[in-house]
Amino acid sequence: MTMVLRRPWAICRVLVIGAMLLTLLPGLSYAAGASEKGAPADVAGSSEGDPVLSFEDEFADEFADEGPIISDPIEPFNRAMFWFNDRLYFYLLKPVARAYRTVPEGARTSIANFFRNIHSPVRALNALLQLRIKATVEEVWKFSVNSTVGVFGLFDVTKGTGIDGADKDFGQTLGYYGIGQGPYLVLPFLGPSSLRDGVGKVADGYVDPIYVATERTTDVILITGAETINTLSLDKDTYEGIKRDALDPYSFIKNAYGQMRENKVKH
Amino acid sequence: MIRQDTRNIKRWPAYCLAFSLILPAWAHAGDASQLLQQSIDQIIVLLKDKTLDRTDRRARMKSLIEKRFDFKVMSRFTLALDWRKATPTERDSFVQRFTRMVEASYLGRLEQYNGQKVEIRDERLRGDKAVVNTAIVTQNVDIPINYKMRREGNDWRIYDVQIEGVSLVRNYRDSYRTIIKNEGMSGLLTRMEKKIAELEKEDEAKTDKSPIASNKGDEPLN
Repeated sequence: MTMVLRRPWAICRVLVIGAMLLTLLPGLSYAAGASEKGAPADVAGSSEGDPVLSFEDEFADEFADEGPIISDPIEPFNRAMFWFNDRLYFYLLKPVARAYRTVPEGARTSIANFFRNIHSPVRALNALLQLRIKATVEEVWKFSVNSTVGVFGLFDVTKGTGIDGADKDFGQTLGYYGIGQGPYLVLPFLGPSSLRDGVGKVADGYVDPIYVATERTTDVILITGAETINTLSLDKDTYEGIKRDALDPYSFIKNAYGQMRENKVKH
Repeated sequence: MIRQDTRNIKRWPAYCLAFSLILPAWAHAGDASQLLQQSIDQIIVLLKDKTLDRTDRRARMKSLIEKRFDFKVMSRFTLALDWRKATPTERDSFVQRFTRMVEASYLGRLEQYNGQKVEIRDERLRGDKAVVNTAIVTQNVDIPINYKMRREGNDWRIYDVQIEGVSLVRNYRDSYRTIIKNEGMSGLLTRMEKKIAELEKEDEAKTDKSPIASNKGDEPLN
């Protein structure tokens, strides 16, 4: 215990591991790794009341031949990875998440809150890098209040107060400074991404409190796996819906990813 | 005196006509939202009405949806350049299939409704187009949905839906263009036909499992 307390982040580590144990299935989730990280796990509650919403874009000529929203020069590779992730989802992640749904929803929501809170410094840092001062302050406020009053982030006590926080990552920061998406990239385990956002993800990973606290890649993979299972257990089968409805699920997700990221860089 | 009165009465139709011509010009911010709100309310009433049987509810929902959604314009914007190249027959079959496909995808989802609130938050207007921001308020998150609407006379109809910043029309356009490029318009139409059959079959299978539930009012919708 003294060893644990020697490092300030150690308490954090204990919490993280506690949360991991709560997920009951750390072994399985290790194999699962992370997936669908690009999926809209927590896309709501951002947008800062979209102050820079431009009419030009919204009312653009619908006949304009704008070309694809994101280029895809390595489509065969991406489709193969898409297929791999698809199998991973149906054969491993989904069954595990479904079994894990026996845990009461309130507990799972709290775990989701905990994870969202612990990534907060990454969001705040990126908001700051994008010179979005209001969002930065909001995010720091949320982190402070939820980490204390909200018991280590288990409860989102700032919800419904109109404070949105910042939903920022380094991929968006690069976009903010004019760097385009680059080619579309489907990453095994991690899901849809792009060259820019992939680089962003690695950069964010290095400053993420979970990495800082554990300092070991295997721990990070384990924890991210647990987080993924928890997220999926709260998800209302979004992916199945897309697979069911779309003529070509691959291009549906590619386009949706491109639009979503473009939108997030703007707002 | 009397003559003057009759003259006024005779002019009534002319006044009415003039009035109705001016009306569209008076359409102002709020009209699109109001009509949208009206449609949403009507659909929610149907979804809550447990006395309706499934077929009946579906038919009424379809007519409400087709009143507010302009599937023809949506189709045009979805196909964009390919719409110009398409023959009138191809256009017609596309509109018809597109409508059926969207309905087959979303009617079942609407039926999962269990009391979530739909809030209209903002409307921005430019000329004959409006963007209405709404949100479905659920326990955990708010799902922002923006409707793009166009004016036709006094009416406003939806031609695109943006969910969390993702435009459906733009999304369909991207993938349909690829399919048309590789398989031609007929290839796209065949694929759509197949998808509709799939969706409708799945939907029927779901109902067959609980034929009583669909008629009995007190069963929860799912």
